[in-house]
Amino acid sequence: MDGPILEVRGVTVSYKLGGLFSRRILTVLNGITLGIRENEVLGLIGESGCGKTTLGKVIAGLIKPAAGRVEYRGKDVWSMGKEEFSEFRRSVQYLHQDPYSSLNPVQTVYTILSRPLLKFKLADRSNVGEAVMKLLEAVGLTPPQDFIRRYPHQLSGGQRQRVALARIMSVKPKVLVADEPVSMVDASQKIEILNLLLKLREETRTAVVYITHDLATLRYVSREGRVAVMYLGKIVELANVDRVVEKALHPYTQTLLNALLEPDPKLTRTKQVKLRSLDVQSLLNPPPGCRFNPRCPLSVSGLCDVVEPNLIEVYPDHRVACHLVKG
Amino acid sequence: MSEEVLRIRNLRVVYSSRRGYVNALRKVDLEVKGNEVLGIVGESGSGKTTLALTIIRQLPSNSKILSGSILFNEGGELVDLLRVDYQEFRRFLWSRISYVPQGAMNSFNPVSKIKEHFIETAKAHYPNMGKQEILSRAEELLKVMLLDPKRVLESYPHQLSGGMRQRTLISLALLLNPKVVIMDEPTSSLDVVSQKVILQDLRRVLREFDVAVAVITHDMGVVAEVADRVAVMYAGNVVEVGHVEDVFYNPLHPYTQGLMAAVPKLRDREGKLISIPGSPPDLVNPPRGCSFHPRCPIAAEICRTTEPQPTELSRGRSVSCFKWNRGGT
Repeated sequence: MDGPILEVRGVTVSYKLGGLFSRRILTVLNGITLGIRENEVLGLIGESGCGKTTLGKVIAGLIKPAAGRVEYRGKDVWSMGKEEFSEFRRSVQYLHQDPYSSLNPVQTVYTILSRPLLKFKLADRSNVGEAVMKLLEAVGLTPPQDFIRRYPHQLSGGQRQRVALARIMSVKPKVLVADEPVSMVDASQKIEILNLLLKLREETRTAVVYITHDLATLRYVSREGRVAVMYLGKIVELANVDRVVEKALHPYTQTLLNALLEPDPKLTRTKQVKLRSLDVQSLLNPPPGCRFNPRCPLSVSGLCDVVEPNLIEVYPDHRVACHLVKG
Repeated sequence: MSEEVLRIRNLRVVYSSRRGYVNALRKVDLEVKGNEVLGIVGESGSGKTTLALTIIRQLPSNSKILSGSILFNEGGELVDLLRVDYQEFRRFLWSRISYVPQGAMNSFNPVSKIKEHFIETAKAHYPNMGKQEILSRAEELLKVMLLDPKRVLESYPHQLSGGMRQRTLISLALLLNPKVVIMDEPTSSLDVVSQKVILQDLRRVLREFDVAVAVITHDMGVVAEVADRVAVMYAGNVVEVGHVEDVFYNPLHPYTQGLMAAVPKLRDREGKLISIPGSPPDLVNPPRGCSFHPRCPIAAEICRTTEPQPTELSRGRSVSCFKWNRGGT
């Protein structure tokens, strides 16, 4: 496999809380290192507050990390010149969770789709109309004439997400960060949007970073891709999606798998979640040692609550951060 | 789990809108049996929340109940909830039927401690009930929901996590020993782990208290996890009812089959998911005949002209479809 097209190295993101003289620091990402390979699907999975969205935004260059580097094709993104940075911005796109607030409400679909084409000189005044029509057709908004004059409020959630997707794919990105793209779309539209994403990905060979808390959907989108399981600002397990589903090693990943509700009454009721504590620890005051230890059913006192485990490769292409896992 | 506590018959509800009447419920027949979990599943706009609001008589003012009855089994005597005096009905709420709306864990009064919510609720129905009596009952319920009762009762809502508030709310709904609890999307705003744990507990709690629960959701996973029976709603109708395993392993209505085919499964590596073509009908002008026929892969002539009625196939298993026995794969 080729080297990564985009890489984050030792990235830390933290926010200062409270007033001017406050010293409370909230560290939402803590020393994350992760590479995105060309044309792969990489899932970021975890509960809310684990930092998956923040990591997605760091990857897309929307948040500047407090420490660490983000490299696109080997170049540090945050020391790029203006033109280079603009090219990076085009190449790495972000699909928002909420299509109700990601489209400008006072612009028509035509304006929304034609602007990026003109900005990046992918079309000129003479053929931009035709290009917009083609885009709408590609995302299944047909006939396109019916849609170009509409405003976002005249579209359903699913249709808006299609417009957002069309806008992103129009600039031919190399990496697409998709943050729970179907969580706000009606049930009947979800699968169509996912299938559309898969189809566009296949055609354009774009790498996708798929952020979700739903492993079943991720497996559907990801197929042979990798998954990074996140907990309280750290990656705790990183492996191929099949390995994560069939042979998860980290107790937290196993918890997530057991917690997933499956549309199969007999199967889902045999799966039990057993945790020492139901509450997620606060990022403001992360527990010493392994961050999962206060909830972990296997936690060993004197080890897990003292020493922080590193993410180590226990099998080829399977990394785990847990003291109890040996290769 | 045999006797019915709630029997809904021939229920029709419309909303008036600028475009005309929206037929939100179109002849709904449904039972809730004692001590069971009934999963009511459907897409948005299928009428599931309207059904809940009709039962607790909280429909908005632009709505009208055209026909129907909701019979509540009050110790062998059937009381029509739609016809009792509203003042009397208010006594029914919480003590016989309680309702947990969607996202209600965010509707605790932020300036009252949790214990005040319990006391206020109980006092509204039983003014003579002592504080200690209320609080000891509350503690018992919170303990069953795996919370630390002392800490929770003395907390303000913002001091509890979402999952804890949801558990507190379920305890509050059970405070006055209702026979039926209706929960609208009880776990939709929770994280995956809390969701699973709460649903696991819900089933356990029901065995301890003699209470029936109707869970309204769009999530097939939630239904598979908690329900004993399932009612599938589409465009204001109940189109299929059955035991959870029958409905999941042998769905008969083409709509139910479509729903099942569109859910991603963790263990399924190769399968391609297929969504149901088209979108739900406009309920101002519902299609003639079966409301699902424009999207149905097996629709025949009769489906376009005649509305199918629920056909009881075996005890507790019914489907509203002319073609159900040819609809199998």
